[in-house]
Amino acid sequence: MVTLLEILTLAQRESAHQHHFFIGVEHLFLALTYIKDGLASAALVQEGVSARFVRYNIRETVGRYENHRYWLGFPETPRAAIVLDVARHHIAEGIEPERALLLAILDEGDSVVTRVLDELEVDIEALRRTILKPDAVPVLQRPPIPVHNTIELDPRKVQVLQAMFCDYEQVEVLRELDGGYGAAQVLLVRPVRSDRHPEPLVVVKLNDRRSVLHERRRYDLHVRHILPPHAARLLDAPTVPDGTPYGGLKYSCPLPDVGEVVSLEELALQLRVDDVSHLIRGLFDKFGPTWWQQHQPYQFGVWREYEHVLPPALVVEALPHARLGATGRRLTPGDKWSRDNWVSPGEMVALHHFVVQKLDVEHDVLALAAGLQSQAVNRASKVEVRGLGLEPGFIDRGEVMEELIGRVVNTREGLLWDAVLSLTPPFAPDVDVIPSGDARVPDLPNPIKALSHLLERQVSGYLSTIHGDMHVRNVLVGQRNEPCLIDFAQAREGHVLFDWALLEVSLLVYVVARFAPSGWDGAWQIVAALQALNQGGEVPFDRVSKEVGQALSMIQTVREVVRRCLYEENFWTEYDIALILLALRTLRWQTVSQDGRRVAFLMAGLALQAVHERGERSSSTPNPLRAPD
Amino acid sequence: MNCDEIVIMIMSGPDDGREIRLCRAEGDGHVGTDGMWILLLGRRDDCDISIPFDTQISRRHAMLRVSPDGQLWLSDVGSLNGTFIETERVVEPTSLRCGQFFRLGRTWFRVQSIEGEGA
Repeated sequence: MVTLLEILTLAQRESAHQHHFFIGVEHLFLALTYIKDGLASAALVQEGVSARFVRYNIRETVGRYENHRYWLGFPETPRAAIVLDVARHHIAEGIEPERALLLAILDEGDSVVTRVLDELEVDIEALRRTILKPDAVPVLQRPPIPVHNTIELDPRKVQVLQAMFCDYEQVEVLRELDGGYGAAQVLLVRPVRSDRHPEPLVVVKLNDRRSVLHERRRYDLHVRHILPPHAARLLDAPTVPDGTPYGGLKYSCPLPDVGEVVSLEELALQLRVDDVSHLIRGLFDKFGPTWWQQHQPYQFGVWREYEHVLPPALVVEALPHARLGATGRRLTPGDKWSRDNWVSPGEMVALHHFVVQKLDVEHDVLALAAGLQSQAVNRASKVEVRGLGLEPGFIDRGEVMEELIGRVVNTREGLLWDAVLSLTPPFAPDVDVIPSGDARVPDLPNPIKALSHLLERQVSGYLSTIHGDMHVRNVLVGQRNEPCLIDFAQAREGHVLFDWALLEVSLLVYVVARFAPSGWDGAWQIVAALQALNQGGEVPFDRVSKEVGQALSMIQTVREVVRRCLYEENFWTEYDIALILLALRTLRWQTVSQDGRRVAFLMAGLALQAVHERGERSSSTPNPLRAPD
Repeated sequence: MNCDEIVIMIMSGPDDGREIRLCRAEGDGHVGTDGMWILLLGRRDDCDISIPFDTQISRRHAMLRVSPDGQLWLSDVGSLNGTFIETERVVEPTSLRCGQFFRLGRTWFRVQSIEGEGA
């Protein structure tokens, strides 16, 4: 039997790990979930959530403190003192300490713990009843179910599928919707019950465990309450089993049967122009009222919304024992240095108070940025640090690095030039002007050269809930051509046009580029047609192949939607800036073909040209409004 | 009625569960020229509600104004990290109801009750 003292020791360890150094109800509860084969974990599983998922949410809610102690020992909060009193009372009556403390926490009912459980829609009354049962809940160990897959899957991911569908007899992985980059995989899956009754298809996303928990939290905070009926929802709590670094999320959406088109990308690649247009309009009409049509005026510095999509501002080689000389620069997150380019390779820098976003122990790369919360601004000022000799447990995501000294080895511009260079351009990547490759298009300004100027610009637009990653592979085609969205990991409050500019860019690089002749000539041909489109004309079918023309007409539908979301009627600069930055982002997307990236680069130049031609401002002066925090 | 007692509970952090009772008749806070009872919240120990341990709270962070009929208005007084009612950032004086959560820095609060001396 675990004693109360042992639980308190676990609670102290948790508290110290989070740099809290006091004992609150949350630490007591987290301690209870750490007990091996403990009552808390078993009861939570019974209620459909894993202890790991609850722990993650409590920790994210409370946050980690800076490493600073104000007092000796581990004082209890007034609330924890009351809870412990009640628990001791129960223990004196003969209840085991684990059960006693759990009951005391649930009955107090006003702590961070019960607030988080509420948020996760855990039925606290049911949880309490489970805890009260005398022989509480050994978790059933079922044999792993068979997984039939036609694609190659990491066995550790198969384990996640087995845990996710443990109530079924077997599960069939039908195909992969998006391989993406990194660990993420999106699969189309059919679970099968023992009575062989056909179950609806579900979309499963497998990813590393933390990303899975993170995505679910974004969904709970930004999306769940405002989803229209029949949109893809996240079913059940995330599956994050022990013994594998991966986890999984299950989306439900009413999909047509196997063999049918599943994503907008597939639909577009079949050039079903009318269906695509119907789907895009449907998307806006269905999600618009709670998402993009909120129409809150929003004036913002471009960097606040878009800097995070670009490559890191600096790549730094860590020099842990070096000292910053008189010429070295001190950099803090959110400052201008990450937008203008006055830090150059070779310089020594000291990074102060950056937050760890990601660590890749295998490649010894640490990704730092301004903060961790969901707004885009928190992911600005990205810096990549190499050569730290990372080991597991060296530092955690979310931790603040007080100071880190190193030498700059590359900059954002450098990384982008490298990306352009890999596309074998007939010009130097750092030219000011890209010499035109098509008689109908003028020479274009180099968008990489304009980055710092663009990021510093102020833009008037609208603010709403946005998806944050709405490319053609994240829009699914449901039954009766109903649009469904998946992948809510980037959902947030943000610039309305972010989603639509990304949709356009992804149509261009994944679909339109596929139908044009390969190489730079093909890219120029598309840009020439886009230019005609920009000038308010129709798709110039006489100048491009029929396929390219059809693909471009899908972009025209996107523009129809965008027109309805512009802050100032017919003033497209707001949208062009979004296009430029999101197009440059795709230069480093592994999933985009070389031809796709060539089109993206030239398209960014074309949009920049349009911004220059239009000038800084249109007629009316909008009210300055607040930025979201 | 003349509202002169307010109870606020801290809902997170090292002081989680602490109740703060403020009484106008006992000289807590101060009364503005417009008759509003004004309470200052911040990290400094001379604030009416002082939260010394939360480094994300500014020295003078927010102001709570109580009208004679018991209406509450919360405003930010130029804090670095902002004041929030539930998830909404407070940009101008915003009405706050009894039982609602609000946040300064990383510390959550809730107004428990507000009482008057009677007519």
